[in-house]
Amino acid sequence: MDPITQDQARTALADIEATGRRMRRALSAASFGGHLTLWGLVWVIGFTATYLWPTRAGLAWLPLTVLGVAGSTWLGIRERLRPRAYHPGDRNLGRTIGLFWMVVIVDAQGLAWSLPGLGGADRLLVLVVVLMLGYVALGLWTRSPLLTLVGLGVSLAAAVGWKLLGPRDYMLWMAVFGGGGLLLPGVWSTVRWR
Amino acid sequence: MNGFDEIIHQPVRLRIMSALAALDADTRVDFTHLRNLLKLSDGNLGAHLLKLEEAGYLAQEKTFVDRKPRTYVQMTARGRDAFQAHVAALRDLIG
Repeated sequence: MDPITQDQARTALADIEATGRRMRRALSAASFGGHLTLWGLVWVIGFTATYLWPTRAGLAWLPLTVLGVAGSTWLGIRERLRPRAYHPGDRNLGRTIGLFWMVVIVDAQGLAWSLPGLGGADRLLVLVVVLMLGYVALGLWTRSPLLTLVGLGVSLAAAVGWKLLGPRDYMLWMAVFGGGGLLLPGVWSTVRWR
Repeated sequence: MNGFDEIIHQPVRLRIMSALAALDADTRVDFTHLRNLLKLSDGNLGAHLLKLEEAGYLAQEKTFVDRKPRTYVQMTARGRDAFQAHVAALRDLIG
């Protein structure tokens, strides 16, 4: 073997670091990109409908939520059947993540509707922040910086909009920055790492 | 040179090992995913995987999903040790 120079060693170490990082990000995107895209679409449509027709928003949210849950379940099953990577010890990981989200959603709804004296925009902020806490926790748990950043970013956007805008405009803000904050990273990561 | 591994140091194989080493021990990766990530052809990746498998650094598991063949690649404990020794040797070299 020819002697390795210091420059070659530096290049090799940089390549090792970059390749490992790309592998982790690609797998994270493969697992979560579709879910982010799906829920981003649900939020964009749902909040836009709420902005346009505030009194009839429930008619949009009910089917959208059913569609989102069904879509997420399908994505989870597809990933389980044809995983891009798997660990024999993590056979129940998908189910565990599904249960985790059920707990987060129940907690978010429970908190938003049980705190006294909240208006519609206040409830929405509580709901979004608790749901995004779920993204942050899942990101830390699965070592996915993408999910953690999305959770923090959308929480921050929700808080800023709540502070600056009235209840109706807040819905449009959430369509753009809440839905868009899920949709764009989802599409980007799916296209970038497919 | 102590710790340097000629098989691993080849640039494509170094990237393959780097990608596999980034995962938890015993994690299997789909061949197609690895090929796309490293931007290699089927033949090129297959040849380097075979070389690494012959050295005992990784194992390939062939299976069927939806009646289509799928190959999963996994770094062995021996491969992980060799890779870590190689990385340590590179770090020693640059001080």
